[in-house]
Amino acid sequence: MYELVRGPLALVSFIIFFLGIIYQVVYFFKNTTKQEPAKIYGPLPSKKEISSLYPSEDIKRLARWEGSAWSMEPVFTILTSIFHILVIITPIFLLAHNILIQESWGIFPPSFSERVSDILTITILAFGVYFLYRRLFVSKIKAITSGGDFFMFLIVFIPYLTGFLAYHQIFPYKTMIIIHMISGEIMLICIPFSKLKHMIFFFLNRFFIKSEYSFFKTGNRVWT
Amino acid sequence: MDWNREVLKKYKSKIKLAMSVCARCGMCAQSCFLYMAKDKDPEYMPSYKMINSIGLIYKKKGRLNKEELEKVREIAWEKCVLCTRCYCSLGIDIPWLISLARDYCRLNGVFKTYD
Repeated sequence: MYELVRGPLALVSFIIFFLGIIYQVVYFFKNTTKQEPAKIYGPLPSKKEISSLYPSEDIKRLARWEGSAWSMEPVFTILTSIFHILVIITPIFLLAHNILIQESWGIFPPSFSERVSDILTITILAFGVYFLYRRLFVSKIKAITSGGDFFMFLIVFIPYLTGFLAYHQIFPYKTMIIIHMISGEIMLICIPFSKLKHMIFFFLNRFFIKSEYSFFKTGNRVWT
Repeated sequence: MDWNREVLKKYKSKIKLAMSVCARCGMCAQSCFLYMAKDKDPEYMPSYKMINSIGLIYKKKGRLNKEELEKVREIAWEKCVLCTRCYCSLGIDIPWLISLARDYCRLNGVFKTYD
């Protein structure tokens, strides 16, 4: 069982994960179009006329800031940003994962020490409990929560929890590590095809879609 | 025009995508001035309005009963003024989706009345 989960199943889940990401990126570009600049007929207004018609850059910047989550919900924005960064970097720089990579391919990627990884995992689990609390008890989140959201919570939470339990050998190690690997593989497969696809579309939407909030003002595509 | 066949078919994949990208994080709430003005009533949250208008239409494949249609109408006109100031950290175009819900309502003979 261990060999099956560690070998072929892991490979299959990684292949589905990367192909899924490629599929979603292609889907994004097929479903969006590049916005053409507006056609202007007649004489162009002078620079002075334009500046009197439109708000200044300072005002626009202020409006963008005031309207963004950083200004409205700074604490939650910082917490959720930290959580998302940790969820991605912790498994990538985990020593035990990288030892498996070394055993398979002979390369040893940079890793955190076991103590650092342990602290990061505990932080992720604490964040998980906090998010669950929000879903259950904060009225605005409760209003938009459905069964699927709890399911997605479990999909993400279980690999980190079982990894933590396996490392500390709290329950039978062999069983726990197999559950950890299977749940991690399920999470990888789910990322491009479930609600977790926000991992991909966060970047696509914020970099490529023309919007007031697009990053670095690079967005020039529209959905319609 | 048959909204179900024409519009829903045309935008089906985009509505579906928006619904599945929405992480139900609630970060859009405070960007809605109506949400703030109505004592933070969750029913005024942009994501709530999106899920319960166009999301419901999509889920029911455009076959809404009278009660549901009235609820969508209320959201699309009474609870959203399409000011386009809502902020989605994942970049979902909520106003565009609510405007689609308005389209659906109009074509089903339901709209804002001023009497």
